Amino acid sequence: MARSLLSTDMREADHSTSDAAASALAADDVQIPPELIQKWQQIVDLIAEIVQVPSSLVMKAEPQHLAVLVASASKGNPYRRGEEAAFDSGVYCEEVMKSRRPLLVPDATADPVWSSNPDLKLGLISYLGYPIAWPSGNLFGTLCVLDVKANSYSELHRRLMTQFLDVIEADLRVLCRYDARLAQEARARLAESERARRVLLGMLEDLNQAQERLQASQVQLQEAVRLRDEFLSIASHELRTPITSLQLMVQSLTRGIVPPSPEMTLRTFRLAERQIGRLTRLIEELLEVSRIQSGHLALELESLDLVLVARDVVQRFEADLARAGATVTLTDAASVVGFWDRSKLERIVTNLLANAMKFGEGKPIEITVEEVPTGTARLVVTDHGIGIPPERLPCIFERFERAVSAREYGGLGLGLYIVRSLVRGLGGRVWAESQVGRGSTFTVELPCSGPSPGRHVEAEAT
Amino acid sequence: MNEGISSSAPSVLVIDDDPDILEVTRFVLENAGYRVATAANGADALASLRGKAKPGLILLDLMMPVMNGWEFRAEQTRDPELASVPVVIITGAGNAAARAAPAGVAGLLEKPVELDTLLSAVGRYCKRGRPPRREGQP
Repeated sequence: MARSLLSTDMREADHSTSDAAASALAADDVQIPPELIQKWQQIVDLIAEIVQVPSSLVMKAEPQHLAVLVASASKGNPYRRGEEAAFDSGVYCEEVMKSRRPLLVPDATADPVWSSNPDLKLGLISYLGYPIAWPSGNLFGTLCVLDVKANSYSELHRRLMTQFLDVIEADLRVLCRYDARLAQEARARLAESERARRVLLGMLEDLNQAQERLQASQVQLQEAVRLRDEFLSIASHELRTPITSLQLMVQSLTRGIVPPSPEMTLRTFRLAERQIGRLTRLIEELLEVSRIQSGHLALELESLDLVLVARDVVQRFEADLARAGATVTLTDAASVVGFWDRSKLERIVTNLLANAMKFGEGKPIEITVEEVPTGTARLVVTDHGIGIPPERLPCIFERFERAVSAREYGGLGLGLYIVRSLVRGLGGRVWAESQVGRGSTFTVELPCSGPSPGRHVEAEAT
Repeated sequence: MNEGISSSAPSVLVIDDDPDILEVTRFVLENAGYRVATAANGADALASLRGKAKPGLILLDLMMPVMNGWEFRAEQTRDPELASVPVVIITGAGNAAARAAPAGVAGLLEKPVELDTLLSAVGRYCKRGRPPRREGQP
């Protein structure tokens, strides 16, 4: 396609005078296109006809030899296109190329210098040749005529030759500019394709990243589904177990398997009370999570002493602590008063203490309540139990997450999630530090002034 | 049948980590005339079974600490001494856990289990040690 544009481009280039930079860039070994060879063929044919000689040639200087680029189709021309002559073979053109000057040999037979000239051996005894230069000034080759008879070539013939020489050199200039432009275009296209390649690579990279993110989110989704299923089966187990005790006990009385007696009634009532208490706590926990997720914590703020709340909660746990064989040491200030919601505050302390008992392996539990100088209440609950592996530590406050297998430790796995949500709702923060096998420390900090106005618990996506 | 061994062996072994469940199940089954042994987890159960007279039936919970129901069942089926003791699963874990229940068990009861269902399951595998206490009946 580029070739078919050649003639147009060459005409354009002819009119262009400001393409010096391009032509300087052009290399001298530009390929001569067939269109030019054809044109030059017509030139040498014309020269041979007008000058009335058997041979007119365009020779090209190659690195190692001379080559016939174009030979006139005139009768008696011994040279054909593509023929080569070695340097130092002594042909006329070689002399022109060496001297870079025109050469006229009217009759070589009269001059012993040409005695070994191969041209002469072919009977071509006279010669007129001109050096052809590349636009760079370097030698391209020669334009010449040869005759089988002595010939001094008239002034008219010499002018004809120089005119055609100009035409050929002009062709080379145009060719070089065209080639430079082609090279420039090629470079531009190369640069463009490089840019396109980079853009594509970038897109591919983006695509790979998107795919990785997708795979990661699929893994997360699967994990979320697994956690939800596990939660549902734990919640089911936790709810059905106390109902089972109640049902078996009540049915055994109503079916008459056990005879009614005051002793039996008391036993049944105590068991029923325990199961109702368990169910109530579970339902409370589920409702708390439901409230948190709906984004309506509905805080009832009042002036409260965290020290008193903590003491209350510890007292309520006395029976459970005795059963677990654990002790609680409460270190507190005289009072730490703040603007809080009583039920939420109790829930926070309760869940952290229950957590410490559950994972505390019956070892002593320490609770500290103090007011740090900045008007912030601080509650610290420390156990010396199994601890939390470092890789689990970041997710223990997430819904359904737990650091240990659900089948090993009962409960819904919502306690710490509730703690974090309530602490945030009260404008505070909670964090955990832990060492596996040595225990965990949970620290809650709450602003005594209560949550800042306008602060809302964000509804979390379910 | 050797009466001596039979009378020393429990009719039913109940494995559950919930003390109230153990208490109620023992109470109900004893009043129905069975001898009842209990264990708080799979490991305790294995310890109480090995080298002793075997119960007619094991009632097995799935979610337990130390050694859960699946692990107990795997240990039990590996042990030729214990493998033949029939096991009825009692689970409150819902459909997911029921689907994942150990294979080869004699039955699966879902909590909350009806008294009649429990008694008929136990009655299928166990002989009563003595007649059920039914005072107040003619």
